[in-house]
Amino acid sequence: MAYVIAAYGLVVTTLTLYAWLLERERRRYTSGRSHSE
Amino acid sequence: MQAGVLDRAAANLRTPSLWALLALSGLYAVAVLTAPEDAVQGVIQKILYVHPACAFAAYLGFGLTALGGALYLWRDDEQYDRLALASAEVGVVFCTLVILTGPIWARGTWGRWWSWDPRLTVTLLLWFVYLAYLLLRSFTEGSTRAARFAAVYGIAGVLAIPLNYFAIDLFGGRAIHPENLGRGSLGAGMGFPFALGMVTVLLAFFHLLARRLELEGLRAHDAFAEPALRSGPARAEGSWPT
Repeated sequence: MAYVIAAYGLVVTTLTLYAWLLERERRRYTSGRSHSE
Repeated sequence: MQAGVLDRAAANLRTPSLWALLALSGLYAVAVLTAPEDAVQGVIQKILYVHPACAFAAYLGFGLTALGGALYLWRDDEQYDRLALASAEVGVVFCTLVILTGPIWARGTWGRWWSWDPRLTVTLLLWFVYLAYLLLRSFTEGSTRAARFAAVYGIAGVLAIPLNYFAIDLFGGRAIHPENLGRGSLGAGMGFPFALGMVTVLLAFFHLLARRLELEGLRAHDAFAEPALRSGPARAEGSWPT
């Protein structure tokens, strides 16, 4: 069972972390744009 | 710079695809938890409901990289180059998950983390091919010539996908990786969680691709804008945010 939890945990954590990084980057661009335009 | 149809689609799909993904993920979790245990492998066989799905998402990402590259060479429209780059990155993320979940399954069934089996070796090769693509793009950002070279590279790299998929048939008895699933090869009650896993992981792929494509559009818009209007966070250092 530990292997199954490890596999699914790895997938969920990696995809969530990647989505969070993309969102953080998007916010940096959109907030910068609203200040300058 | 005008936002292309792909940029607008990516921005519009981001939120609806997230809600759909969250709803489907709940159903997927229940389906995996309630799926019957395999008579031979036991509970570890449940990795089947995510491992091949991640592989198909990686194939899709690399296929879209080739398609985007071909359209970029044909139409000379930068939105297709952005599609190629975004697809390659998301494809590498899913290919990384294939390379990580596979050894976990292998450890539980074969007793070792890794084997230089044809399927595993070609998967690693596929990962390196598109990792090199991303490195090439990061070192040559903004260069039209590099974008054209990357398009050709991305198209050539896609040849590794059929090699990867048919590796077990091509190398016959030397493979220890299980054969590709065929019609009726899953046990009773395993088809639904497998199909749901495919749909959920592919939806996650499209959601992440929409986010990545939108970000690439913002970066391109920022590079096109006058220096005083630039909003990017790393312009003062003279480099792109990574």
